[in-house]
Amino acid sequence: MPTFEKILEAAKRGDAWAWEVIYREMAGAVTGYLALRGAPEPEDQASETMFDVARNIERFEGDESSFRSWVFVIAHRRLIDARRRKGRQLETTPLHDSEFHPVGDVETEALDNLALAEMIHLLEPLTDDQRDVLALRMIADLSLEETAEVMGKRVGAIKALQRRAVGNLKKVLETERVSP
Amino acid sequence: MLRRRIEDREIEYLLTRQARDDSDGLASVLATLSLERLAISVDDRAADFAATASRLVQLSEPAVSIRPVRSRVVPRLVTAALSAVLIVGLAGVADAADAAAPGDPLYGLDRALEQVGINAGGLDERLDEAQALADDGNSAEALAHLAETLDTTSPNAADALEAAAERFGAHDNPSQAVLEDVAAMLDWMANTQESGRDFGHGVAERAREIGAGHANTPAAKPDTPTSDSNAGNADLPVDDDGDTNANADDGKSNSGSGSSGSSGYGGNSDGSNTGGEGGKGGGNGPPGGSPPGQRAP
Repeated sequence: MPTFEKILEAAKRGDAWAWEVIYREMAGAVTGYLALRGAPEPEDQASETMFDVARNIERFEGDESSFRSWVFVIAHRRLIDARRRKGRQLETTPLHDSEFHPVGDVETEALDNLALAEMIHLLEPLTDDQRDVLALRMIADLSLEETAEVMGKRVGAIKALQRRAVGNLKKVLETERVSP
Repeated sequence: MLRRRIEDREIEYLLTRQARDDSDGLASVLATLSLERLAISVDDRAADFAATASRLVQLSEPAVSIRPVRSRVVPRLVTAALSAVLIVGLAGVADAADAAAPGDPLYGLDRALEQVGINAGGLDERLDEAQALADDGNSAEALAHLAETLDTTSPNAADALEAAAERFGAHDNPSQAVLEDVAAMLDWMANTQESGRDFGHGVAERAREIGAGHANTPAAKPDTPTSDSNAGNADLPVDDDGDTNANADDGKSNSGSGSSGSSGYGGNSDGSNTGGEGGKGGGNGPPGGSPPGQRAP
């Protein structure tokens, strides 16, 4: 496996192999994060995110950790855009979509599964920020610092949010035990 | 204090999924939040994506500016604050900055000055800032600001405030009733004699009532203090535990990020350098990593 610097360098040149590595590494986590956080079409927003990454890679500087944060910053914005767009029921077709067709509906079905429903149910009593923290920590597999960067908060605030998120999960657990 | 630090570490431990055999089932609940369970397969798209991405890069003309948010701004802010003080003189800049509320250009300077002990800070000043935001009609921001302030001292109150902020963060024009609820809560916070745990409960209670009972607003979550086994610990005033935790519970190492040590927004972590800090909420600074020894120059 080439080092991250080598991959980044090649990606900036437009080498396809580098983009394949990046996609395999990031797309699953991005899709999962978007699905768990209620993106209307997780696969679509994940594609948008990854294309944004490609279009802006020129200006990215940093190590692997900041790359992960950067990708999820973009995903986070795509999520907010998508929610807003859905609210307005306004469907626009970005240019790049004409060049890229997702293969079949396999992924959609995979996402429409029990595990996702269960996770969403589990996180229901939490606040939005708390859900973001858990989704970024657990699904996107980001560190405290990376999560702080994505959410634009201090590490201390992230710690407090996750403490309260876990506290709330504990309560969910207790209530479900009393009345299963 | 000791108990709290252990809790933080335990949570970090659970979140990094090293724990599998806990007694209360929390680890297994957290373990259900895993990407593997979602079974997302991206492999068959990778080649298509790579081909398109490589073409995009080659003819790329970046349209939108997308940059990582807020990276290590604080040390620069502190430097900027100190140079400003040296050049212009202490009183003017510090006073102007002191009056700044979140969103004002000088607000960062205010927090930076507080960090090195020049402006007072503390709950009272955070309250004033929240009041300023509320006066401008930014109720949601005012509540979020308070939630952040009470993060460490009263998690329940912070939770309720955050939930309240989210409830009508979506509405651009909160109703008059909501504005009045917020004003009443701020008023209570500024004038109450309650402290510690009672203060936290008082805030939480009022935050939950904000906007409740109005059309369009979901009822507040039932969140009875009695079911909260942690309440006894969690709501007592506790000192900022940032220093220790910054090192203790970073489960994943992160080479490039430099988050510990003096670079965080430490706030007035030990309280000894502040003039106007009341006893209401205990230590006021959000956990960060400011060394306790920092004083005014």
